[in-house]
Amino acid sequence: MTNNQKNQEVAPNFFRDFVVGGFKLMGRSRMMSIGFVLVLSMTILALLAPFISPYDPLEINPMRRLQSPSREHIMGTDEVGRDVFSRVLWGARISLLTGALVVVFSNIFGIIIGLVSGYYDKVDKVIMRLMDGLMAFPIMLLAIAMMAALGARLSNVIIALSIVFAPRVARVVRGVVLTVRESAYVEAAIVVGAPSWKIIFIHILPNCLDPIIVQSSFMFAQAVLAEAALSFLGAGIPPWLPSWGNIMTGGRLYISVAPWMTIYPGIAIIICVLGLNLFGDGLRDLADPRLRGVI
Amino acid sequence: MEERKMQKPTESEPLLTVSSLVKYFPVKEGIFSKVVNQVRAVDGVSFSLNSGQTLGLVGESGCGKTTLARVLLKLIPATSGEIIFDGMNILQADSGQLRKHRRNMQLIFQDPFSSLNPRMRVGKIISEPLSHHNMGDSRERRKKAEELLEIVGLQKSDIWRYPHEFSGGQRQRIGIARSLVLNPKLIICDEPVSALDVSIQSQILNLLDNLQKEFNLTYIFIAHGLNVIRHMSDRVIVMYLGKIMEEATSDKIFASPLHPYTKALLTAIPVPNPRSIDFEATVEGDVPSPINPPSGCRFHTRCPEVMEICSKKEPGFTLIEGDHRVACHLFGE
Repeated sequence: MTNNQKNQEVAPNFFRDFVVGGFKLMGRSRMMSIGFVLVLSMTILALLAPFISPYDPLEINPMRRLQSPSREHIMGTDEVGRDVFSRVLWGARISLLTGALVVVFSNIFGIIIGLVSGYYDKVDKVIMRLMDGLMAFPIMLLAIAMMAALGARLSNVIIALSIVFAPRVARVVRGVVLTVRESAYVEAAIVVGAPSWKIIFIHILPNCLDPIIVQSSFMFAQAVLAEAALSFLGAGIPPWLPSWGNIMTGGRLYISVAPWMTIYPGIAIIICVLGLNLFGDGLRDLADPRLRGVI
Repeated sequence: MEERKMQKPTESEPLLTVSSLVKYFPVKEGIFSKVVNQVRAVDGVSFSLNSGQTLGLVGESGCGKTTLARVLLKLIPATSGEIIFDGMNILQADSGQLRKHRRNMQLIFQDPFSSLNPRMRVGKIISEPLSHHNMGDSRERRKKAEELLEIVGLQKSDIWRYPHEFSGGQRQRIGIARSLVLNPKLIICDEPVSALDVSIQSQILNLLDNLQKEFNLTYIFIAHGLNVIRHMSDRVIVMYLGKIMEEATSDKIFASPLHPYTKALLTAIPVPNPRSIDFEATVEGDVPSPINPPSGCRFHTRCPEVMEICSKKEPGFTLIEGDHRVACHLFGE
């Protein structure tokens, strides 16, 4: 590299393209840097929960129930005296894990289904009618029905939400595939004899990334909210486990006397969703060589 | 140019033979997709092409030139007819044979902006075709890409750059490099310069010309104007509404055009002295719809020399001086 810099040596380099490129992009876009900081700090807090949470999130202490925020309990305590701050920290682990895994699984299935039905006309009609059928149910209704069938466990929450979100990913991906597969560079790939799977994965998929990334960022947020809603309705994870939704469920009965039980996990959700959306927009720019800002 | 034509090998076996090729696009309507009509994009086209030659294909937009190219490349299936390329009937080949065959027939696209994958580095764009045919390892492929970039007038180091970093002319050079990488026998150039600036056009045309000499390529050169065709072609086919109107050597088409439509196209070439144009021969109006092409001769609605028979009977080909054929009643019988 050192000798060749004059010679415009610009060999591909994952680190420079994506890591340095990402920081350059954040230097230009304040919104993306805010999103990045929010997401990063949320993740770090969630990972460090066992070390920094001042109390055991499951420890019941009836002597200290429904205390307002104070120096000992900065977010107050709930109806059985558990520390809300500790529960919000531990709840971040469950909520963020749910969001991340739901995004991963629904993207895997949604992208494959979308690519196949967008590229092959014949299966398109069958697959898409099936997806339409799944999408005809409201998100929460389908998720609740599935939770009722599967049983209330965290893994089932993730499975149910992935099944609910996959058709939405599939529909977006299929839409983009339909336009991308008509483009001249796909035709060029056919002319040079590329096999179908290479056309789909090398030429079509990378050009579908923009909407997938944008959709992922708000799907993450939606999954966090959906998990919260499921737990709030009692169809999610068992009530004693802390997730942001569960904490709020517990707090709803006491909202007039102990609003902190609902407000703080609510704020956590807002910050998380906001950060993800801001960061997601930036990620989309990073995935595009035309906007990456490094030559 | 003249020398080049003299040197050309005149083989007995043509590289490409197309006979009565037809491509209709169905027009569908209603919820059951009932076929209500046909767009007759290519309607009974026959010609043959010898190795090392350049065939010019010219006509107004909508006359079926690009459809013909896409059918020849089997990007879209033909409705009927026969394409024999290098001894193989393309239309009956199975997908495995077809994929092998694709090495020998390449395409240069009209639009250099949409024909390069924006997420792929130039080196990958050029060398990727090799990987589809298991040719060479990654280092050899990279070397080949560098070589080709230099041949088309770009720099070796450009392999690491993205298409958006290049201008239109440079992108077209990349497209040309990609079409050369598999050592094809035939390259179809689908209006390769019509999206470029005039000053760049001549550079690209000269490049194509040099490449033809260097690699003994056969070209089918599609254009909507005759001036570009004149520079490139040995033989010229004039198409109108999916049919061949006239075919002759390049010299004959320009020196003594027979079909009124060819004459009209010739007057559309910009000339230094506009007073020399014979405005009698120009045509007006648009090309009629290929869904319901005019009866008889398809050109009769716009022909300046239209006769009574033209709307009733479709003219067949009349051979004049051996290899000059024209479909017009003026020369029939």
